[in-house]
Amino acid sequence: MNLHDDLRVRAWLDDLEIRLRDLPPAERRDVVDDLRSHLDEVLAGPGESDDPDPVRTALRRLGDPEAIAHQAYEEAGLAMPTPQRRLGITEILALILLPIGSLLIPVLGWIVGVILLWVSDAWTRRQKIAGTLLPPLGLAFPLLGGLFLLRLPQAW
Amino acid sequence: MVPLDLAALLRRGTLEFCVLALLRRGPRYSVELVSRLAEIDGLTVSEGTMYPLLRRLWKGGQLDSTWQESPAGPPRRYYTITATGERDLAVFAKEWIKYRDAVDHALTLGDVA
Repeated sequence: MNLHDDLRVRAWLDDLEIRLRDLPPAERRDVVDDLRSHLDEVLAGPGESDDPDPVRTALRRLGDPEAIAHQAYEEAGLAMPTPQRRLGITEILALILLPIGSLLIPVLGWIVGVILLWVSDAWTRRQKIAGTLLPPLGLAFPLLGGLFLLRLPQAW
Repeated sequence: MVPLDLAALLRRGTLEFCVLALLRRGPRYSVELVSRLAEIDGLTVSEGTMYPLLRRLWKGGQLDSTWQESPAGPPRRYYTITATGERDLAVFAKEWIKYRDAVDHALTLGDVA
């Protein structure tokens, strides 16, 4: 799998993980692991040589992440969470303060950005760690960082 | 929220037995199993939605799951039906046939089928 394919698979799994946020952690981990293993296996072999986009095919066959999440909640006997706020005030402030918070209030501005990042439920733990460790200085990194956190690579 | 549709209502309580039935002839790899299930015309399931169901059946003791090393790639999980699974499936099959026949009969009484 090349890097682009790997990013698409990770983005899809992250999206699913976010939808499963109200499941007990063990259940959530199990479901995501099962699907990760499935994709690893399906995408490991040479595959159909006339399929120009095996990742797209594999993800399409897995189905809508919303339906998978719905099934997971049902099997756990739980209700689905209320629709998720992807870009509320917490997320917008985090995305502003992470790159330039230190310019507004030295150090503290950035720290507030990090706190908002972690408080938000719009990102997975893996994404939050990436957002915390990305250099907060310079303009090129914050722009890339913002794009990464918004998971725009999915659109590429 | 995914709206409940008729297909979903019918699947509930029956789909798991279709899974068990597919394992009666022998163990299957998870990828193969979910792909086979998704292919059954009219069952209208996607491969991904099978995994939570498989996990629930495994927790309920109706399936066993083991990993097998594969020379060509990552280890593969494969599922086997258990004695509990066989028993539950047999009970379901009896009930299902009775009920299916009853529904069909009611529909013919209404000149619907």
